[in-house]
Amino acid sequence: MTCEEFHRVLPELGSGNSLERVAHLRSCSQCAGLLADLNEIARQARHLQASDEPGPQVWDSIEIALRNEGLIRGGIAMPALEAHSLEDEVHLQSCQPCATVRADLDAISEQARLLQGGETPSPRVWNSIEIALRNEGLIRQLEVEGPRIRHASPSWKLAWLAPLAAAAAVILGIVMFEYSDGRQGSAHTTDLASVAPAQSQDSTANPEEEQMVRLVAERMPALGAAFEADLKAVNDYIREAESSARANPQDETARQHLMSAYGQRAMIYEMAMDRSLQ
Amino acid sequence: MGGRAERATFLATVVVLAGSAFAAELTHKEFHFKVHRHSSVSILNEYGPISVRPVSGHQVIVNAVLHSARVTVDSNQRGSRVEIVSHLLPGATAESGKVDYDVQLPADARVTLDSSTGPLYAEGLRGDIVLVGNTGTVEVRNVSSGHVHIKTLDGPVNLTNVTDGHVEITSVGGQIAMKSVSGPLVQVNSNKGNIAYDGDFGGGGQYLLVTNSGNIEAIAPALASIDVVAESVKGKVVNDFSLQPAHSSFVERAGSAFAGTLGKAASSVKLLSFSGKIHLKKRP
Repeated sequence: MTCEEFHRVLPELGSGNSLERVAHLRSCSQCAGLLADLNEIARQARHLQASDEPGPQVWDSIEIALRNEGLIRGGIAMPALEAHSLEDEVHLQSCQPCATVRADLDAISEQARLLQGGETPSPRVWNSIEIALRNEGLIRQLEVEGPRIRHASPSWKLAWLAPLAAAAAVILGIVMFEYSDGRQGSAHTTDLASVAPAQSQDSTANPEEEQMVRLVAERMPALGAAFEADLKAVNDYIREAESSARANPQDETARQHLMSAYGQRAMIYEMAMDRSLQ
Repeated sequence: MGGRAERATFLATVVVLAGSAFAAELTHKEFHFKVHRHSSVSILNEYGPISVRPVSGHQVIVNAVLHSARVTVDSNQRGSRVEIVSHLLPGATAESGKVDYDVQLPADARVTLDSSTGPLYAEGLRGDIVLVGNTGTVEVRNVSSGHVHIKTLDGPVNLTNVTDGHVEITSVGGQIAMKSVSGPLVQVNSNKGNIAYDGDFGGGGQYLLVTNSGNIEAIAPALASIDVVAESVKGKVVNDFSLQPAHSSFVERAGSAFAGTLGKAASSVKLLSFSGKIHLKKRP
């Protein structure tokens, strides 16, 4: 059983779990840790007083946690999450499904950083989150091996725990992202002054382009030399246009030259592909 | 022994001559297609010229001259969409794989021509035209209303009397010459090729001529109605007109950038070069 399969059946875990599930728990520390966390949440939940809606302090806690990670302004450290990061990192290196989940969270985290800090969301926002999670079925009865969760009465649900769990998952992903060794930090920006020149510094250094030139030369020997010369001319144009745009980021003419240069390169790539395939 | 040697020589000679004949054989083929309005015709011919002109009626007539048996012509029709492909056989070269196409089709047809060596020629059409070439000349004449898209690496591009449509040309090293070209959009993107425009910048359109190192020479009448911006980052800019100052944030730099209007400034004209020379000339 893979982690992905285990996560899928997690809500259905009960006293009669299959040998396959038990075996996975014994071999996968991350899934075992996740199950242990959920058991703890369930155990603590039984001590809570029933209520139709979670108290304001719950939503405040979620808000504070999200602020801490910069999704909204402000922040308070959440040291408890750091304890899992190294273990998670080791697991991610060997587990493709979980690595995929992490990659998705990375993308969410990175995009979320582009969001401007705004005012504190209204209670309606948190209610909307709750409703959305209910509709997605994230809020459900949870039966786990060993301690049993008391089935909630219609008037009291574990629903308010679900957004907390969702926020915790997001925060966990962000923390894992922060401690990633292989993270390539690059802020997305439309500011031309930060355009990276690396790819066009040396017009012959790109191995993909060299391979493309080679393919064209093999396919059409008479065209190879001219093709390579044209590609070099275009790459030089791109380099100069980028330099100009970086020096004058607000200059519309500089932007136009950059677009024209890239347009020429796109044309060359397209023609090379077509010629290679013919 | 002598007889055997003579026989071997004779056979070798026959084989060589037969091969030569095989390679040099010219074959003429003709294809007819019935189509409806707004048909689509595409021709992919790696080696050889393609010429397209209009014909009356709803038909497409393709005349192909194959320069050897090392190339065949594959044709395919789906409704009003016709595709012609020159299929190179193993061992085909630029000479032996050459096919000369002469195509007649409805004036409103959408045409796509692709040839590495060209030349490509289209005239008298009203539909959209896409021309893709590497080193061959691309020539378009007397086209109106249709959009003209041209992509070439180093082949020269000549447009004459192309009006009322979009014109988009992208070239690396080809020389681009436009005479009496006007429309809602005329956009030329060249790297090292020169751009020569001789027209009126009419139609209230947008004209954008951009080069990297190529020169731009634009000839316009004294009564042109344009809002013009010309700038060369590293080259020189020369203006023969007395322009009215334009209300914009553009910063003029003597000898390298100017801006202004003529007449009612109906058309927008941008002449931009990175290191080439720009000359806006007044037609005598």
